[in-house]
This record gives sequence, structure tokens and C-alpha cells, in this order.
Amino acid sequence: MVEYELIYTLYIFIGCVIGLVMGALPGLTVTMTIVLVVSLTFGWEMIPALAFIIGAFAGGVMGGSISAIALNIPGTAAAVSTVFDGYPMKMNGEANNALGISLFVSMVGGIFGLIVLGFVGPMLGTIALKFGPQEYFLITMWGITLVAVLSQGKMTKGLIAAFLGVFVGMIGMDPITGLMRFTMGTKVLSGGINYIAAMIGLFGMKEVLVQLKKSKTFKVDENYKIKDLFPKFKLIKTLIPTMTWSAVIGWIIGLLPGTGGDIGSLVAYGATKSIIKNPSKKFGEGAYEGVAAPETANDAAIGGALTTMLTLGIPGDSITAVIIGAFYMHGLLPGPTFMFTEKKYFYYILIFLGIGIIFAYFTGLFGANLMLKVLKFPKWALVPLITLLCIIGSYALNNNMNDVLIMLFFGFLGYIFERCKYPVAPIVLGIILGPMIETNFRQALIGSKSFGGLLISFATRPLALIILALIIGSFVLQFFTFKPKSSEPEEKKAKI
Amino acid sequence: MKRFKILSLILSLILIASFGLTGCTQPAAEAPTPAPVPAPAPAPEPPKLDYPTRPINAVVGFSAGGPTDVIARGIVPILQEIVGQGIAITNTPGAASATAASGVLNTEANGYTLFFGSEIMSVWQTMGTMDLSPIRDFIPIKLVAEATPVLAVPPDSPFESAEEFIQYAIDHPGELTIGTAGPGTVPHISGLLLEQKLGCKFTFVPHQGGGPAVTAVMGGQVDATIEMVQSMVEAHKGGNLKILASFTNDTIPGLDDIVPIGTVYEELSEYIPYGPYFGLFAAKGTPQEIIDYLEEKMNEAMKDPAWDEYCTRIYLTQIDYSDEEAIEYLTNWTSKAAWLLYDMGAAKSSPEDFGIERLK
Repeated sequence: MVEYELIYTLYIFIGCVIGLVMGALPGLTVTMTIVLVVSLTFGWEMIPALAFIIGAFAGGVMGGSISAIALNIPGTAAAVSTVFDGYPMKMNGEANNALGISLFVSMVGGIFGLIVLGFVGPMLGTIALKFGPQEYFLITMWGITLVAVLSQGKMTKGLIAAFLGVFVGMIGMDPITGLMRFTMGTKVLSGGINYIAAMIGLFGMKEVLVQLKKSKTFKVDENYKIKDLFPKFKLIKTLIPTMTWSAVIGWIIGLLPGTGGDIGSLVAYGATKSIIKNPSKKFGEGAYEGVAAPETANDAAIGGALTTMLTLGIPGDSITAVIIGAFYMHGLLPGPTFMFTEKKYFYYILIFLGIGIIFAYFTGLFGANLMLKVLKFPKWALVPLITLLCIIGSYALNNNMNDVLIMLFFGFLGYIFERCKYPVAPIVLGIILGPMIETNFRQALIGSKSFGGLLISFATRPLALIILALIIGSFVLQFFTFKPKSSEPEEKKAKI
Repeated sequence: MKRFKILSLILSLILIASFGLTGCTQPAAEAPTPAPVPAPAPAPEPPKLDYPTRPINAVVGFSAGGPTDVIARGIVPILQEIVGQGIAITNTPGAASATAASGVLNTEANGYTLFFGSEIMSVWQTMGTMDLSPIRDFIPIKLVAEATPVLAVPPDSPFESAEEFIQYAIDHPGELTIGTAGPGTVPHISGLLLEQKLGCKFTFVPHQGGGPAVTAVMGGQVDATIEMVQSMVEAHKGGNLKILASFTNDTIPGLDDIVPIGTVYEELSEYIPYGPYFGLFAAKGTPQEIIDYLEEKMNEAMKDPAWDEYCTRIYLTQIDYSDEEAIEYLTNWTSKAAWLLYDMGAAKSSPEDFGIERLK
């Protein structure tokens, strides 16, 4: 039924390398990588094209975290939460551990997603449809509670930053009425603020400005060999619980049509924070768990997103939307029946993804090694290089100069915030989640016709009720600080 | 030392500011020339057209994988073969494709940056998105296809036909929710058409594009969704939703079981078929020879059997309008959409403000 030709391996490998390189470059998101790859495969047969596309998918997700850790610029939106602890780890001189953990758990997460897709995926696909605006609203609200973590003890300042982010997210076209808001009549703002441009500015460009101020160099003193990038077994063992729940969270959130790896990794990070009471270091200062959670989740999300695509014919996230577009381009209409009548695509995708994830891990090791070498460049070479990457990356997003201006603006804003000891991460959180919260809240409100009806609907929708319970649970957990008697803090079994 | 620090900071500021300024100057320089400048009469002397000598850029205002993108990627590669120069498709999403359009207008009108547009262009002005018009600011090179909207309900919906659905909406105004791809889109306009002509009342739930609206109806989050047939037909066949009617007067070829709503409600028949259009546009001011050249090549491209097959497979209706015909088509389309949106209270400003006349 499924004939595997050796040449497919080559396609996967090439796709993987392209994906990894593009994913590692800030601003070149996985979605864009897939767009590029899809357009390259226009004249191809569907199967080799799929091999190429899936390879790039696996590589791209893996690549995003490399630059997040090494340069403090998340290569993709799904790597935002990797920055929170990954970059501090690098600053503590643990770049090799951070990269090693990130790559390894990514592989584990990806394979987990794949296995779930292969065995129970077809049965679980329909769950995705049960998620309405109420459920999305609750999940995104849960996501925004992360502000508490990201504020690092400066709650007021964190809230100010988050509100700024939510406000920035409102700029542009009103999602419900289509009217322009806060654009001041300019064309620059009419498209809204692209959150990836803002993110590159707030993390990458800000870092450049900070470095200009300091006279010290980036701190990569030691010589790493590639074998240092293999994580130590002991370290991985302590991360197993974190990986377990993060993989499940990532997979489920990837499954939902409205959300992908970016939200998945944020929620996994938040959940890990509320479950683990004494991480290896404080969250936000280089906790291993803080790198492992989002990285597992964003790769597990691949399997989830593909499940929705394969079982329902609807995209699980923006990347699978492009892959569905590729099916269209080959004259195939994806849909629920399509995947039963053309079951071979299902198996091909499974096989390609499996190979792709393993390739991505090993090419990722080389890539990370290379990145560590780049970091040893003298500062006068590195700082302009990062600036250049920020500019190219933000331009490449939408081929639009406006995004570069926005990126620069947020770079300065981030710098000012940092000087005034405000955390910048909540701004990004606000920009990403604000519009989702707003749209889903207003959709839910329109659907239930009155505010009272909306409140009731939270109680009458079973899934909404479950999520609400989980949220309340995670808050309650915050108050009962488990003081573990033994030195094994991870004893607490995840309830998710 | 301190002084150096300050100096270097200032220098880098200047550097970055200059980056920013160069980015600004482009639009700013163009600002004083308002868009409605009539195309200057092209100089008649060049005997041989020196175009295209380098790759052309076709801008799509929506993200990859969406309907406009999928259609652009169906025709553009064929055109590219015929022209013999690379034609790249660039996706610049934002503000219902108005961001991409204003980007195209900010480049030199030399035929190297084209716009692959869709029907949403017709409602930019009335919906208050941007003061741009497909006729005033662009030259339609060729309109290539139309899509067909259909009305679908969730699989477990009690409604088995369009009559039942609409009768319920007449008896219970505002109770039924209809998912749309967003304000001012064809699904929204189609729903408003039902309200205006049949006297029913719905509650519209806008989504971020057609995909989420289809998902919403499959999961029963809304009572119905209006979307293009190609994005729902597979789910219909698989029993994940029920298509009640198409917004046409005749059955869609290959989909005989879908009832055309024009046969059920005679009063609608003169307003339909009413689907989104898709086509290739150039900025106003592009030399006429280039327009003619591209039109000729598009004619060839559309004769390619691959395009025909492509359209049949994804249920697109082929159209072939250029020059005067295209202008007339666009004028009609825009007028219908703009006035309907305005009359039903969904538009921000009156179409009259933009010189859009009401159709007789």
C-alpha cells in the first residue's frame, strides 16, 4: 500500500536542513518556511513534495529554539517561551545544556506527538470541534496569567507591560466590525502590529542596544565540543515529569484549530510553573524545566496539528493551513472523507514525520554547535550581525517595510523598559494573546446574545467547565506551596 | 570612557534612525500625489515592448493557503511559463489585503509589481478599511474566477432545507447565528441579502477568515455558516456538515444534490449568482502596452487545459473579463455590495461619499 522509496529520505533531509536554517533565522517563521518549500514543490508529485514539506516542518520547529537560546531572538513564535529560561541559562554559561535539553526534548515531544497521532489520533480528532469561543477564551486567559511568572516579582510593572501588549494587539482592524482602531489614520498601522516583528524588536533588537551599552562581551568562554550538546542522562531523568505533561498539553493545543505551538508552549510553561515548586533554578533565571516544557510542547503540537488536518481536513494551525493549501494546489480537496479514501497520505505523513524528527535532531546538533561558534565572534562583528538579522527577519515576515519600523520601535521600547527595570516578556504575551482573548470573548458574547447568557454558557458547556476547573486548580495550587520533604520535587504527579 | 559610550550610543541611534527614515521616505514621497490620477497617455513611440526584462512580483494580500492565494497559485505558474520570466507570489497579509494593495501602489507603476486581488477590494471604502478602490486606483488586467458561496448547518442540525432554516429565522428574529469569514466579506453580504430580501434576521458571528467559520459550523458553535463551496464540499460528503443551498440559480456542476437557492426563492434570483471574484490587477498609471501585453498572456494562460482542470476540481467558475468589461463588472459588483452593506447598517460610511452609485 505504501511504497517507500529511498529518494524520499533525501527529500526529507534537504527539507529538514532548509527548515532548520530558516527556523533559526529570526523572523523567518516555520509558516514562511513551509510556504517557500510548498512553492518550490509546485510541479512535483504529491508524495515527494510531502516528504520535502514535512521535513521542513520538523526542522523549522527545531531551529526556532536555537536562536532563542543563543541570541535571545526567538526564531519562531513557538520559541518565545524558550527565551524566558533559555537565554538566562546561556548567560549563566550553560549554553550547551540549554541547547542540548532543548533539542533532545524537542525530539521526544515530536515523537510523542507522532505516536499519539498514529494510534489514537483518528479517534481524538473530533474533540477539536468541541472547542468554541468560550473554550478558546478560557485557554488564552489562562495563558495570560503567565504574566505573574514573567514579571519576576515586580507584579505592578509586569501588569503595566502586559496591558501595553494587549493595547498594542488592538491596533489595526477590529476583528468583529472591521473598523480601524488606533491607527491614527496611517497606513503603517492599518495592518496592525505584527507580533513577531514586535517580538524580534523586544528581544533581539533590545539585546543589541543593551550590548552596545555594556563593554563586556557575550559570555561564551568555554570551548564546546559537539558531544557536550548531548544532554546528560541524569538531567533528562529529572525532566521526565515536565516532559510528560508538556507533551500532552502541547499535543492537545496543537490539535485545536485556532491555536498551535506558540500557545501550546506558553501554556505548558505556565502549567510547569504552577506544578513544580522548586525547579533547578528560579523560573526566568535559567530553570531546566523552563526550557524543557515549551520545547516539548511545541514539537508535540506538530502531531496534534496534523491530527486535525488528517482527520477533519481543517488546519490545526497556520502551518498545516499552508500544507492544506498545498493539497489544493495539487488539485486535491482535503476533508474528512479524503483521508479515508486516500489513506496512503496518512501513512506517508507518519513515516516522513518520524524520519524528519530524527533528522532534525541530528542536524540540529550541528546547527547548535555552529551557533555556539558564531557566538564567539568578537562583539564588533556580532552586534551588527544580530542587528542585520533583526532587520532582515522583520522585513521578510510580510515583505513589508512597516514591520521593520515596528521592530525598531519595539527594540527601543524594550531597551527603555529594561533600563527602568520593567519586564518585557509580558508585552509579547499581551500582543499574542490579547487579540485572541478579545475575538473569542466577543464571538462568545455574540453567540450567547447577552452577558448573562455568556456567564451561563461557561457552566453549561462541559469542556469550558473542565478548563475552568483546571484554571482554578492551578491557582489553588499556587497557595499550597508544597514543601517537599525529600529532595525530589517532581514527586507531585501532574493532574493534567 | 563614559564619553565614548555616549558617543557610540548616539551613533548607533543615528544609524538605526536612518534605517527607519529611509523606510519612511518611500510612502511619504508618494503621499502628495493622491491616488485618483488619471493614467497619463502613454508615449506612442516605443515600437517594441521591453518588458519583462526581470522577474515580476505578484502580491497576494492574504496568507498562503487561503482561497485568494490558492487561486493565484493556480494561474500564476501557467502565466509565468508563457511570459518566460519568473513571477513570484508574495504574501502580504493584513487589513483585508489593503496593506498589500497600498504597498503595491507605493511602488513604481511599471508592471513589475502586480496585485492579485479579490472581491474584498470592493468594500474597502464603505467598510472604512482604506480609501482604495479597485477601479479608481487599479487597472484590472484580467478577472479569472468566481467562487460560489453556500449555506451549511452542523451535521446534527434540525434544519433539513433552506426553507426551514429561513422560516425559522423569520419567526424567531436574531436567534440563529451565522458564522462568516469576517465583516464585509461575501458570506456576510450573502447573509445580509437573505435578511433584506426575505425579511428574516440573523446574528452574524465574524471569524478570522473562512477556515475558522467552517470549523465553527462543523462543531456546532454556530447554527450555520456561509462559505465557499470548495472549503465545505468534502465535509458535506463526509457528513461533518450539511450544505442546505448554494447562492446560485442553477446547480453547481458535479454537485447536483445541493439546492440552488434561486429556485426556492424567486425574489433572490436577480441578485445571484453572487460570489467573490479573483483577478490580476496593476496599479493605475502602468503603461497601456504593459497592460495589453499581460492581458494577452493571461488570455493564453487561461486557455491552458491545466487551468480548466484546476477550476473544475476546486469548483471555481471561470470568468474572463478585461478592459471595459472588467470595469463594468467591478462597478456593478462594488455597487451591489456597498449599498447592501450600507442599507443593512453594516458599513461605516455611505457609498455615496465615494461616488458609488446605487444600481437601478
